[in-house]
Amino acid sequence: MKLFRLFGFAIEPQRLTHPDDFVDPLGGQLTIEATLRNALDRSLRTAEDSGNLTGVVLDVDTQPDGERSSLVRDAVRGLAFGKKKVGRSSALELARQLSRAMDERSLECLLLIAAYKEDDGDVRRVAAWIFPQDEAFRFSPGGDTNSAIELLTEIFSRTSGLRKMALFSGKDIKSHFIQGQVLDFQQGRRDDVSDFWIERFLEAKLAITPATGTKVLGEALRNASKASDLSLVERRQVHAAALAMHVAPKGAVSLQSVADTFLSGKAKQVFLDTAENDETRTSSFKLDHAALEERVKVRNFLVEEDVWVSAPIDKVGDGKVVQLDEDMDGAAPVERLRIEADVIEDQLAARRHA
Amino acid sequence: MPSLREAYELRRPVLEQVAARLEIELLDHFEGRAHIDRISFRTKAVDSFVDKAKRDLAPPYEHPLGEIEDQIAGRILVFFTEDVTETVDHLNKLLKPVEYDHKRPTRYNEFDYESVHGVYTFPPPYLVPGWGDHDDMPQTFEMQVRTLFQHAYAEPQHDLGYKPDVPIDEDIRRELAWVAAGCWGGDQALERIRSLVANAE
Repeated sequence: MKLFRLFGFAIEPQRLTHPDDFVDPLGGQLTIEATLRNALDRSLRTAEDSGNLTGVVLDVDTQPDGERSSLVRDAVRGLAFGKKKVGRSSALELARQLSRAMDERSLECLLLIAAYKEDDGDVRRVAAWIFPQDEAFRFSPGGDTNSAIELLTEIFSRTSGLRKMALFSGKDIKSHFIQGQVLDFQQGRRDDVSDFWIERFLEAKLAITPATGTKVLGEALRNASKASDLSLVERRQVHAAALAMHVAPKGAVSLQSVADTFLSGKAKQVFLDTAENDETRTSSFKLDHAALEERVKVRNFLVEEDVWVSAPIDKVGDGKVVQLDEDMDGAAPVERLRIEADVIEDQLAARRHA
Repeated sequence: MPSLREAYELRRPVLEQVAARLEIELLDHFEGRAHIDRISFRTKAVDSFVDKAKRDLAPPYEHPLGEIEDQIAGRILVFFTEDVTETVDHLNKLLKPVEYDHKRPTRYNEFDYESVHGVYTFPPPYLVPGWGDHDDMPQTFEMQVRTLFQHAYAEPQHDLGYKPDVPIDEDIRRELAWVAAGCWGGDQALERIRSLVANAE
């Protein structure tokens, strides 16, 4: 696709600014130079190849005569299909929206909005990038007394880990430009990022609901745990992943992020093969812990003296490897855990025998 | 270049797989919930799709393969009118709505079709391999949620297949309105009885 419109704005946080004091972001339409076009094309390809795209769905007006309108959807469609004046006003609307979404925790940034079209087709694409402000040195070496150094402050980092992107594409029809993809290069702090970029700027939700995502995660963990020929290390990894997901703090995960953090080898491959498409594999979703407990039934016992015992739920009970008895300890009933089984692997055995 | 009919025929097996997947997922999601009579999905028949694509609308469909949103459609039937809202709320925990319409007569003295219609995006995990092999796949599908009584009126009435340009006899209209009123009354009575039984317990 060919880049045919480009806008840039310097965005300052104005989330806490009174509406009467709000100042429109400075910027506007940019001339598309070849070097910039190539740089943006490369950035877009990198984003698409990164395996870190997350699907989002805009919160649109769901009334039948609401035309599925939202500020972001209308602006993105205006950029993609509108005439020049509409394109310019749409870009400014997005810039204002971003400024209103940012609070003092966010650095000043550059918003670049690029619109693409096919040479002979009806599909258009709009990519919105933010690049955080940075500082850099420009050094001009010139010998012993002629060298110079300059501190550049009004620059925006194209490679910063804090950069973000949102991408929408489709035709000018009712059902398109409602779903999009976002890319967040920042690892960790997903809640803050999600709130700011997805919820406050795009006014969107993750495309995979907690119910759907947690179910897929549960299936992936079960598939991995049942895979044949896993090494002992891989089996331990799957077990650790299941336990970790049960106690993971609130936040968003993806199948890819869970696999990258906990799994390797065949366990990782079987786990990820549960996803039948790339978007399922890479899209983030919020965990539903209650649903996960229903799907991946692991019991975790803390017994005396800080000893932890964990077991699949179907291995706990009468006649099972882990037995629970109820005894009376004085006047109060107490559960007692009994395990008697052959040790298959002792992680610290090598060190113990040294 | 395949014709519209051929293009739709080519994609229909994939649509059917996704419809089947949606049905399984919704059945699982609603398992254990009371007052759900049935959950079912269908894919639009080829003739029905082609007829709709060629319908004389303003504006007409320019991209019917991508625009027609009921290529896959699902329906949930519930026992009581109070269940409709709860069912939609529970459905929205699984799926993302982009349009919601409670279709019902606008005047108090009219009785006609009544049903909740929603349009939803496809959750990525439900898209089967092969979905992306076709151009211009739909990005949304339709859901209906209605009571058994509402369904008892809607299905035969739809099956009678009115032609929009053929006027309907006034007596037929009146009889249909009477059937719709009876169904509406049945729903109201069931709801009252449910409330009385609940209060008596």
